[in-house]
Amino acid sequence: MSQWLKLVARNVLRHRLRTSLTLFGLVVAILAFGVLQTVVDTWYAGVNGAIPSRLLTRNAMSFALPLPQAYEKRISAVDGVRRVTYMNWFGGIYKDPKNFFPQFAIDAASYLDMHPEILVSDEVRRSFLRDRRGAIVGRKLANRYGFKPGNVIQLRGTIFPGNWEFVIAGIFDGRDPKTDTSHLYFRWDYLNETLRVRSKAQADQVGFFVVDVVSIDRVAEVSQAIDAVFRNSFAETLTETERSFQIGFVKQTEAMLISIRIVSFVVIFIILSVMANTMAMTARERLREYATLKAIGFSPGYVARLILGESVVIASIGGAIAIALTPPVAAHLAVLSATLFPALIVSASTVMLQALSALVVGALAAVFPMRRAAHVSIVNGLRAVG
Amino acid sequence: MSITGVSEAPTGEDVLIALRDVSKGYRRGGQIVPVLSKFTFDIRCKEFLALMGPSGSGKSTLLNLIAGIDSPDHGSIKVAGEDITRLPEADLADWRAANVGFIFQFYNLMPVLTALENVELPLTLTGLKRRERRDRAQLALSLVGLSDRVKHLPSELSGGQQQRVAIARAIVTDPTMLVADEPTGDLDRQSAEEVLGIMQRLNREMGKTIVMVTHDGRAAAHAKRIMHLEKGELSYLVEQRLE
Repeated sequence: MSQWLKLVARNVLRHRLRTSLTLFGLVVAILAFGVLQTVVDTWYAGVNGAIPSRLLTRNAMSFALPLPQAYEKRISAVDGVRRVTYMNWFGGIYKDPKNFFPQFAIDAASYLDMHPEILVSDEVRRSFLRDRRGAIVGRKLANRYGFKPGNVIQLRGTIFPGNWEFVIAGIFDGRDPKTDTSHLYFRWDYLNETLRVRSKAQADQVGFFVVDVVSIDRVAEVSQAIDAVFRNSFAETLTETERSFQIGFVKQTEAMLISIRIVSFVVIFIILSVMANTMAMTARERLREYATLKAIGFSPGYVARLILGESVVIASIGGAIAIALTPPVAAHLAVLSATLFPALIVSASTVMLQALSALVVGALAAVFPMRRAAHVSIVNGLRAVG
Repeated sequence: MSITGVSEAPTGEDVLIALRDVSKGYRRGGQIVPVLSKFTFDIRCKEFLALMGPSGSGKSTLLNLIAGIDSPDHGSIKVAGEDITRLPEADLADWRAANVGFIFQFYNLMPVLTALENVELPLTLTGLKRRERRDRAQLALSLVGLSDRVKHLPSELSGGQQQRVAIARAIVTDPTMLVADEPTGDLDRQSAEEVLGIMQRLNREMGKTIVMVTHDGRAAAHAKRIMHLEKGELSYLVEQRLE
């Protein structure tokens, strides 16, 4: 081990309490930074996970307004459309309003065919298609409420009046960790037939059509063609890619996301200040040692590198611990956040940002102590009281 | 030991350090306070010179200038014929590493390094291999009687032992001269005598030129010459005949 490395390593361990506290602060800050970045990334996960050849057609006025289900045939007839399915946002309450989770009425067979990211076994699929009151629930939702196949659950309608009973046909998983498995899907025909009895005005309507286009190259052309079909009708449509829809949805919360990003960087700035103060204190205490080194022939650069090395080593250790802790903490947060996030997966770019932040904090924290130790005159340094 | 009176001026061949018209002042409260004014003096090869005088007399300033850790406002300081006042900072650092061994009042050892590692430290500036550095550091420690303390940290050593480690560090590169600023100022009498005895041996047996600042008359009595400074000027010079 070189003399420089030996001095750096031993200086790191010199004030164990101070180093431990600094490390603790660094770990908390870099961890918080990583988790907040992951939250923001996850918020955009729907955007990134959207299938480029899938279009969403909704009411041009607002996605809160429905479209006639009868549009399905006319959309299917548009050149370039391979398949069409449809869905309704249900918005029911399970026991208590605080138990929020997304529920959708879907045209079961076509919806599952067009959403390969929803993994259901053949048995569950058969069971779901067999029972008109059937519903499938995502793994995360099932784990949260202990739903099991065969359970009967009741939702109180908010958009659609009355109490609605569903039989759990099975549990679905996501194709990848980012697939949201906090949803409940039930059959649109059950909704529609019940509405025909309870609330006729709401029957035969859907919230969205999902359109599968034959080729990604034709997405723009097909979306324009669909909207052209319904132009000047009583319910004009707006067709956009799933990705555009998700971006529009996320944009509504953009101010919050920007705030989270700002907070994550503020956390880094705070720990930079703390670390800089620690290093300044350390260097001030060792001024006489640095002056001694310079007196016996070591260069100011060597002394500066001692401080830089110590600061970067502490920051790197803190960063490494924080990076190692981020995935389990994010996973725990995802569990605590219930159905808010499908899964908080720490991306490679977040890990890179964390590592970079740690190194930058380590390097910047050393700048002023390095300058001082390197430039202080030997005579003044030797007079310094440690 | 007997005091022989005022010293004779050294001849040109004997001179190791030649100070000529050296002036130095410090800025205090917006004013320049002169410490040394046109100071001229020669220090011989293999000399053991003690600098004495009241606080503020300029003895530590003189020592710092001779050691090359401070620079004069005017004048020249030639060491073995080389004017160190003209050396750029980086060259001066190299010059110190090769020619000066430092002994400080408070030892100034690196607290995180063992005695052996502290002594080895200046050798890392040389091109020596690790094994050779270790051998030399061990030899230096044995010269100061600390062969059995090589793995001890400074905090595990007494003040006298720490100062002996500092002396070993000062001599390990075999420098031309040793500069010592109050080397016994923090030691009890017995430890001080041990340290001064080692310095005297280094001067007599190894021919090291030593310049030592001290307030202690008993410490100065180990030197060959004693220079008294008063307000930045040579007050008187005493040559001693040591037994």
